Amino acid sequence: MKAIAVAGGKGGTGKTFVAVNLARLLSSRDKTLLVDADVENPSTLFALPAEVKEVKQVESFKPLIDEAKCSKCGLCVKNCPEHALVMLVDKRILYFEDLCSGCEVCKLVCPSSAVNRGLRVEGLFKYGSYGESLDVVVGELKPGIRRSGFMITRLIEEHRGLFEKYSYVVVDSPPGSGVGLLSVVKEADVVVAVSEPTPLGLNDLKKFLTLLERVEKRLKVILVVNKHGLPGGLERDLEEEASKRGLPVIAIPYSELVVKSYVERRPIVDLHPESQVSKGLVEVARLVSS
Amino acid sequence: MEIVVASGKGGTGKTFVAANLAYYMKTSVEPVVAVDADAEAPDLLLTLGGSGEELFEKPVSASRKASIDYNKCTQCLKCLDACRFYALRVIEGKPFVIEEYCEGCNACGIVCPANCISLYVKETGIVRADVSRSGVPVVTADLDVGGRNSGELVFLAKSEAYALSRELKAKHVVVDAAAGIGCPVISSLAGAHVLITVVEPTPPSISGAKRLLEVAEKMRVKPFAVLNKFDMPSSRIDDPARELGVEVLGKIPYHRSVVEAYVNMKPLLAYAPDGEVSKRLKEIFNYFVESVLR
Ligand code: SF4
Ligand code: SF4
Ligand code: SF4
Ligand code: SF4
Repeated sequence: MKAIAVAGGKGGTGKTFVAVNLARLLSSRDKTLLVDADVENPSTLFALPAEVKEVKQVESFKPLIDEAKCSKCGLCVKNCPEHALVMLVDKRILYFEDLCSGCEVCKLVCPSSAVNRGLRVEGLFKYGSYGESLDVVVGELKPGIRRSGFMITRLIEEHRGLFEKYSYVVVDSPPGSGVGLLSVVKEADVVVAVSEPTPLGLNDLKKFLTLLERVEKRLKVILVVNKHGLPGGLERDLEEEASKRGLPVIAIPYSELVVKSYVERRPIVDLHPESQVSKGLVEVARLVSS
Repeated sequence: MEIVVASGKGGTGKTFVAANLAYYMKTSVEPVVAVDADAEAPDLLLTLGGSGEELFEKPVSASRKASIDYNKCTQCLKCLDACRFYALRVIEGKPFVIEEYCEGCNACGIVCPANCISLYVKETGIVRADVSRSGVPVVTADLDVGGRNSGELVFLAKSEAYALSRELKAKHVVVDAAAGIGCPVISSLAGAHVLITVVEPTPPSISGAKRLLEVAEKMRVKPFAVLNKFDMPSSRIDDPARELGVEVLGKIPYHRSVVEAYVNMKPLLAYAPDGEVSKRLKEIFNYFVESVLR
């Protein structure tokens, strides 16, 4: 199994677009799994007409306090690391679900076994497939749940066994440079960094490369310069950043066909295999699998 | 008033709208402080021209992590069962804390019979304030790469922005929120009065905006929308305003000057003040300031 993280720093660089097309290309060689780890905004299913076959709820712990057993000792309140439990003057205990991390500390410390296990839904895992050899897993955070990092961790940890069944696992990574992205990148063999030739794109790429330095294992990194040829663009600066680190660079030109394929909800490598854009993507797939 | 500009999905032009709104308010009648709450990829200051004058920079230590004293550890591995966050892993019989995953909840410490787990506090980012080259004061939350707890960081950045706005007698705070709907966005919306959702006419953007509006409704923030790049080729969304069910302040066309302004690190209103896009922006912002803020 080869794990490929497609990352894009800030949003809008074309990360999902590259991930979907790359997965499609790799699936013509061997069994491929596309994992959508952009849990706050999963959009692979907008770009690929995959058929969703199963939806699973992702649940976590919430305390249910048994008033009859509770001795009002307050230990749960004192130990709750998220301040999700509060004791009122009349010794009633209030619970704030939005703050709760589901750590179960309240249950651990309760001397009267008054804290029972309740469940709440934090999001969904969706399972689908497209054609013979491409499967898709999507992690989707429920709106109003703040803990996206943990959703990503679970998406990875709970599917390790599944990943092993594929030759290629392509992960559409979360945006930004935080722990969510780090946890995805740590699992990867190859990282495809999608950037755009603007000052912000450059700024983000530098931040992302710093993040990669924190990953101890040796990673193969490929830089994709998307929307290549923007007026007044910083293609040269991006390429310089890459050559400083000896990274291969692949340019994908800006093209109307990209938007069109998006609107048609089909990978551009299927719709317009002869376009310059598709050729760039084929090159990415070749480097990834070599 | 606190105005949050957010988008649900990245790349719709949220920072573009936030930067130009802040610049518009600064150059018209309303003094303003801008906040970059996109702590994982802050670029509002750059969009407003970069730093002209640095006001301050403060390190923020916001998260707790577990550490194990191996002199005392008996390798019983009870801690492993207690951790709900996959933050402990066994290597050669010994438990190891994976710092990035650790939530600092102390469940491991509570169950450890040898009492050898303690928590320490870790620095996770900085909050800085600058006057941008275009004259707008900007407070930036900047998370360390690989860091966690950006919600806390956003909260601190907003507190600093309020302090600064009192000092500068600015009546309004404009927050450029993170993309998505997670912790930093929720912290951005907490206490805000108005949300401007920036959408483009594509299905993922509309779906992201809907998720965001659900959060805003829970948090009782008054929502509005701005439709960006509404003339995108072959959009399949007929009426995004109706899809979203909120008042649309206006539509912004796509023009390459928007990218050029980015590349030149200037708000569009300063870079191409008389262009078609700037005209639309001014109409939208004028309406917003006159009818919503008053
Ligand atoms: S599960 Fe953890 S965060 Fe939630 S209430 Fe219990 S102690 Fe607090
Ligand atoms: S720790 Fe248990 S007994 Fe004590 S207040 Fe909490 S629920 Fe009640
Ligand atoms: S519970 Fe304590 S003693 Fe047991 S393995 Fe964990 S750290 Fe070591
Ligand atoms: S403090 Fe909590 S999250 Fe960290 S290792 Fe211990 S149990 Fe796991």
